[in-house]
Amino acid sequence: MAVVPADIPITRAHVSEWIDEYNRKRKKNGTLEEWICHQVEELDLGDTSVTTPSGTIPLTDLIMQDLNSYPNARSEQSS
Amino acid sequence: MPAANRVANVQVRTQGFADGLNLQYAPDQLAPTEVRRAENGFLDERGGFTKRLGCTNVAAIGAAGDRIISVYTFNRGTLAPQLLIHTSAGRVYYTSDPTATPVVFTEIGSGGWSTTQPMSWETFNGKVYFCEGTHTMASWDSATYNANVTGAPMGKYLRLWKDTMWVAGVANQPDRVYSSAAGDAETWPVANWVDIRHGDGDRILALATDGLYLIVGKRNTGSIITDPALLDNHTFDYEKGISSHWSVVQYESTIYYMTRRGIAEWQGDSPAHLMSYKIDPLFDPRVLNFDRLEFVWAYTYQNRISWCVAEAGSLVPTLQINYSPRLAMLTALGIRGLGPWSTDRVPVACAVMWRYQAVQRLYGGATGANAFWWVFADNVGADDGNAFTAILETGSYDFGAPLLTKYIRRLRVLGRGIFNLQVRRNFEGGIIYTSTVDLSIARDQWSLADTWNAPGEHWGIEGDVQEATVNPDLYARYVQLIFRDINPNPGSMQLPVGQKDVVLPTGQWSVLACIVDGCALGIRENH
Repeated sequence: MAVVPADIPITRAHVSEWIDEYNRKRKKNGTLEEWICHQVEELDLGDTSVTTPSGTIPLTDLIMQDLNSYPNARSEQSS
Repeated sequence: MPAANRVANVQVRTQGFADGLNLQYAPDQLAPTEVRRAENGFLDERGGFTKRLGCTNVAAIGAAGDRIISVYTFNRGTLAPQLLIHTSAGRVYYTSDPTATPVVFTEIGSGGWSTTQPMSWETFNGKVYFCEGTHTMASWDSATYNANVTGAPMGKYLRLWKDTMWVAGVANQPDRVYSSAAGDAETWPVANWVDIRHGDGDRILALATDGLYLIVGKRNTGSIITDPALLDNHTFDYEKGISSHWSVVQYESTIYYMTRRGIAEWQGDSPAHLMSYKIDPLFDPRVLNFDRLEFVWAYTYQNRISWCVAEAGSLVPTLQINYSPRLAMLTALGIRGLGPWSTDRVPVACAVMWRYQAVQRLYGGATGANAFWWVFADNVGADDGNAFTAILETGSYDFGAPLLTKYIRRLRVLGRGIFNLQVRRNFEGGIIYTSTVDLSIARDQWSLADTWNAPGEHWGIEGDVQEATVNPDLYARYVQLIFRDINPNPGSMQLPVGQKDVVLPTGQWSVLACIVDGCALGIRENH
């Protein structure tokens, strides 16, 4: 069931921590995108999608589309 | 029997300068109440022009090469507001008393901020939040500094709207606007973002609000977010955007901002109106440095709004464009028309009003020194010791007979203070006449109670406004009057308040009117 963005219980601080964790262990965990998807799944939110002005979009897609706004992810992507 | 033809006397009286600067019209097409130049003066009394006050340096900031690039008033309820500044050394300072002598600034944190991108500030939940796009968002509650608001996007622009903090200007996300959780600027839900006109090749340069909408200004377009939860948005202006986040200013019931086409007035959910058509020629890359429009800074002072802009060839502001909304006429329907424009050359890059108890002052950062200034300081006639010139130049008067040469016999001036009166004729470049006009008054020291047994006589303190006559003795078809400064000292004016006259500090001089008296001659080859 789609929810509005503000109702998603994950914050940017969570994602930033996941990226930090990935940066520490990256050789074991595949790509950053896979790692983030894994972390979201661990929260067991179900099939969460978000109502946006562009339509209903899966939460993980929204997070992926915004990954390069995280400074710690940008350094990872450029390495 | 030979007889001399009688010459016709002609007179023209200026009708006040209430319609301000007009650069759009040809020099011979100005209305009688418009002027070609109005610089470093206030259109303070309708029709009059008064030289502005100067600036006092109240504190040196950092090293000699440092410059203040952003300034903010952090209001704290009943406590004295703090003034926060951001310098080109990448440092942030505060003071709780800018009226102290000397003013003591204390650094917040230990630097690391941008040296070029001015800080954006917002106060929320008793803290001031600030960011500039290169450093994590920080907060300051007047005692505790938090250098990293965890998870907040690293944006350049902050705006508080609908109990929520909004951020834009994040690197690599030129279209994206982020919002915090409602009521909490330190929690940022991961999906709380929206792209405005995604991938249009433009970038967001400003966030603003009228309370109802969040206004998102790109360079070329303006959009609004209408719903803080669903992030619904649409474009309201396809023709012009907002050039600078700091150019957005609210004055009375209206929001104004800088666009690449001029100064615009927000119209709600419809294209903004350009207000500055009378000074349209200024908005040209050969006149203004368009590359610095991004950093244009607005402040309000008394009856006007000023935008600090850099002229072509300069990286720092060199000119203020002033707009006086309250001098606009009201139509029969109660709609306010266009107010007058003028310019200043106050060498400040940014300024903000500080008000506490009985004190209200404008403070700003000097462009030429690591100096924090009281702008328009009482009884100060120069900018930190440097004299500046005020100038008012009228349109050309032809006395209703543009073909005939006129003999200009006398000029009678009404005003205050000391200034030069100059005349230019027939659109020529040179000045053909200059005279110093001294309308200053010697204030008597005796008591008002002492009538010296002369009741009923013209006996008392000299009038605030004086008249003087000069005799230029010149010939011209068109006459253009120029009032220009020769004196760096401050002046004053009297405000009648019932039984009292309150003396207010002003710049050295005011000009209210000038009568040109002469006689019309025939058609001459010259002049």
